[in-house]
Parts: sequence; C-alpha cells; structure tokens
Amino acid sequence: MLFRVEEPPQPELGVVAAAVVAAMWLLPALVGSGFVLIGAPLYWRARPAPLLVGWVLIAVAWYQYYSVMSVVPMDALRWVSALLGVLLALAVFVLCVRTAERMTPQEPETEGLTEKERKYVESVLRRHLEVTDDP
Amino acid sequence: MTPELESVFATFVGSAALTSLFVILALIGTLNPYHRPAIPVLGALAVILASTYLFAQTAGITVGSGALRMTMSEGVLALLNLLPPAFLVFTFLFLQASFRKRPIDPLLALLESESGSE
Repeated sequence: MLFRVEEPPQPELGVVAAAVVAAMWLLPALVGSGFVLIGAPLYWRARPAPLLVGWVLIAVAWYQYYSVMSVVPMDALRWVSALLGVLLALAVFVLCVRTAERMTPQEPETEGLTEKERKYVESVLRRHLEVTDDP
Repeated sequence: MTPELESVFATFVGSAALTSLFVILALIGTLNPYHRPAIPVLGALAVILASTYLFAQTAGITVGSGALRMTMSEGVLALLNLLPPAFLVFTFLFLQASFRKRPIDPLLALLESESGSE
C-alpha cells in the first residue's frame, strides 16, 4: 500500500517524475545540511569531522543539481511567481484570522473582589511577604 | 497568452492553492476547544477554488476534480522549483555558521575549567 508498483495517472505522474529528479540532489542536500548543523559551532565547539562530511555532501548536492537540472532564465520568473502565490495564500490566511479575532466578542470586565475575597488575598499576601529571615 | 506566461501563471495559482491546502491541514491538526477555524478554513478553501477556476480557464479545461488535481500538481512542481533558491540561501547561512566564532560565555568557560580540573 505504501509503495505503488503501477504508474500513477497524469498529472501525478509528472509530479512523481519531478520529485524523483529533485531527490537526486535533495537527499545529499538534506543529509549534508544536517551534518553541517551538527558540526558547526552553534551551541558548542566545532566538530570538524561532521562539518567536513556535511560540506562534501552539500558540494555533491550542488554538483548533482547542475548535472541533473537545467536552469533557464525563465526559472527566475517561476520562482518569483511561486513565491508570490505562497505569499498570497498566507496573506489571505492572516486576514481571515484577523477577521475571526475581531468577530470574537470581548469578555465582560471582571467585577472587583468582595470584602471576604479581599481579606483572603490580603492574608495570603501577608503570609508570603512578611516572612522574616530569622530562623 | 503565450505558453511561457501560462506556465508562470499556473505556477502562481498552483503554489497559492497548495499553500492553502497546507493551511487547512495545519488548522485541522491544531484543532482545540478555543480554536475558531471556520473563517480561516473558508478563506483557504476560497483560495483553492479560485485558483482551480483560474487554472481551468487558462488551460481551457472544465472546472472539476481533474482541474483541482492539475492545480495541486502545479503547486507541488512550483514548490519543488522554489527549493534550489532556498537551498542557495541556506548554503550561505551554513557558511556563516561554519566559520563563526562562538562568543566567549563565562558560564561555559567555568564549566570547561571545572571539568578540566576534575
């Protein structure tokens, strides 16, 4: 069930093919990034071995990318277009959340403490604040 | 519309539709009694439907499940296209992280000196 043996129909077939081609450089890129993050002096001192392995894998990823993919000037326009699409969807989401929050009725103002509650709070504060340092 | 412009437009609507689908999945995944997801879900659904309609009009196909699948497929391809420039930015950030000098932290220095003396 997890791995389909038969070919998916179009348009999913194109997506699967593109994902397989992208995986050729994405896998070393992801693993390399992980190693660089482990080896870089972010929170502790640098670990040269994972850092070196990570950079080798990142170099392999870029080499794979340029040998597998063909970059054309039109790609830049597609990158901008995809980014704008993502931003549009996020902007609509933010506006909807803002509208939903504005439509939420405000809670009524809390009433003041009664005399009994006031005395109780006062006694609690007194007990906690008036402790002397004497043993 | 030229095929190039059509492909750019398909990328735009596809990425908007797929991002809205992710938004809906995130809203479903974070449901709790204090959530008011109705309006954001409706907004995201509106983006998906509008994107599908615009894609179908541009491609000259009927609006339906086929158009929706094609729009989502364009979205996946668009996001796959976005990965190389994102990885380029990350590579520069990794370079900075690899060659940065950790600021001297007196607490860590104390820990190191204590572990060295034991």
